[in-house]
Amino acid sequence: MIVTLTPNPSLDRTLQLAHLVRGGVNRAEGSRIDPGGKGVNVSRALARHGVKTVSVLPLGGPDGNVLADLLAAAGVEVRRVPVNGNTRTNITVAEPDGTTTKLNEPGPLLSVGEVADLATAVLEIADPGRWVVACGSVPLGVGHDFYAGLIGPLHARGARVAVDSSGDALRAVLAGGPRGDVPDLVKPNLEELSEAVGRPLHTLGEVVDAAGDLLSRGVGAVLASLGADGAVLVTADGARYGSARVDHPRSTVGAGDALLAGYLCEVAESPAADPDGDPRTPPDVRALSAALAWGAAATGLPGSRMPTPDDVAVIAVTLHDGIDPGHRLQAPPR
Amino acid sequence: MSALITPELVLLDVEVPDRGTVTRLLAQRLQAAGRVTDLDGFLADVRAREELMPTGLPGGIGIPHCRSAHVTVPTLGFARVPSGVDFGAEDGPATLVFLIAAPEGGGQEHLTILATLARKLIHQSFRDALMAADKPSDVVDLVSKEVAA
Repeated sequence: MIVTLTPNPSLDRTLQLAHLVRGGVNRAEGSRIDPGGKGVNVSRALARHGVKTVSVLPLGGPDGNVLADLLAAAGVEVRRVPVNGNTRTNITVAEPDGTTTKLNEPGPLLSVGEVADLATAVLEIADPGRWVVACGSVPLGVGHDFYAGLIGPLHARGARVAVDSSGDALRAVLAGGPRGDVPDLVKPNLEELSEAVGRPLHTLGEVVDAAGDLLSRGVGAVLASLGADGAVLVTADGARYGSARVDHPRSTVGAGDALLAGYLCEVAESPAADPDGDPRTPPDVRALSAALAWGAAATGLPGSRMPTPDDVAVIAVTLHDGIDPGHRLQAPPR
Repeated sequence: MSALITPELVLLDVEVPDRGTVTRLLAQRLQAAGRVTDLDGFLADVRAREELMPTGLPGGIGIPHCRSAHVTVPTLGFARVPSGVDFGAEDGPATLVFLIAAPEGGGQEHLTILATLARKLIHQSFRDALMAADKPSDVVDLVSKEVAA
């Protein structure tokens, strides 16, 4: 079982509109709602592969109930932390020409007590050996050191910790919690990694060096997602680079979350040796391959839809024998 | 406590024109078993949930469900529809339909049941076993084992 923590989940409503007119009355031609939030996406991807996962969420108001229901129907168990505020709704207006307009709520302000409840809920299900994945931004009322402060208590319970966040929350995590604990895994994208080390990253070599900086702070593994360039995994055993081809990319929304889910599924749920595979294949290689395949599969699906085993199975993954440090990375799509 | 699913709540190999019909057939069984008090009220609640987002899952699954004041005890109904019925899944119609009914004001239990079932149904072996079941009691055994696990 894999535990995900999403302190600022959302209900994502997508409205299809012929043409958005600012200041006018716009009638939607279609709409759909999806559970939103990075940790929520990781859980959805895992559940789509039949992996047991619990999503720890602060939920409040009617949209909180809807979110819990949608996640259950997607196979995700929810550990609900009731809050007074209302779970936020994010609105995406999608026009036929591909233009999307996003209207995001900030999310509820959590009280000190609610933040403590959230931490308690995570610690209660953090059993020895279990992965706990903290994802995304922290809502109002939650300090930037929230994730950093959880790492020590989680490690004390024997849990392994992955963090996928950015900005101040990521910086605090990398600086170490009160006891100097750092995560077992971080999954930055290029921009987040660059932000974490405080320098621009243009080449694979620079990415590997930056990941090495994080390892020197005690981080167990760095899985850097590089968009169309693939991903780099750096651990104490060295750096590996791989990529995966997607014939018809449709949406990169949630692709990084699927990538992280693929990695975790492999390291947490697979038996030590794959009976069908080459027994000499190191676990790192299998985990990176899974991450690349899941991430690429997600980019071939619309919206934030998470891939099924069938979607993943058709992805061709290339693991490169060596890393060309001078390989220039494509600028991330905007 | 009543069992979640009993042989009376299992319909094997029904042919239906649409999801509303299969849901109604199952709901009638729930009503006959005393698990649903007001058939139309319950069906309206199921419809409201279905309108929010379709409950079809990849692999030929439909899981209509709701929490309703017209439900007395957490219940699972099952229908096998060999020719399929649309539940809005991206990959086509559903051949395995689970109706999940939870009493209003109940705890989180029904969400755990729903989540467990949705996740177990990913596994081809479970779906194959449901497709191959000869009699309702086989379905009850299979589902009880998977959802309790």
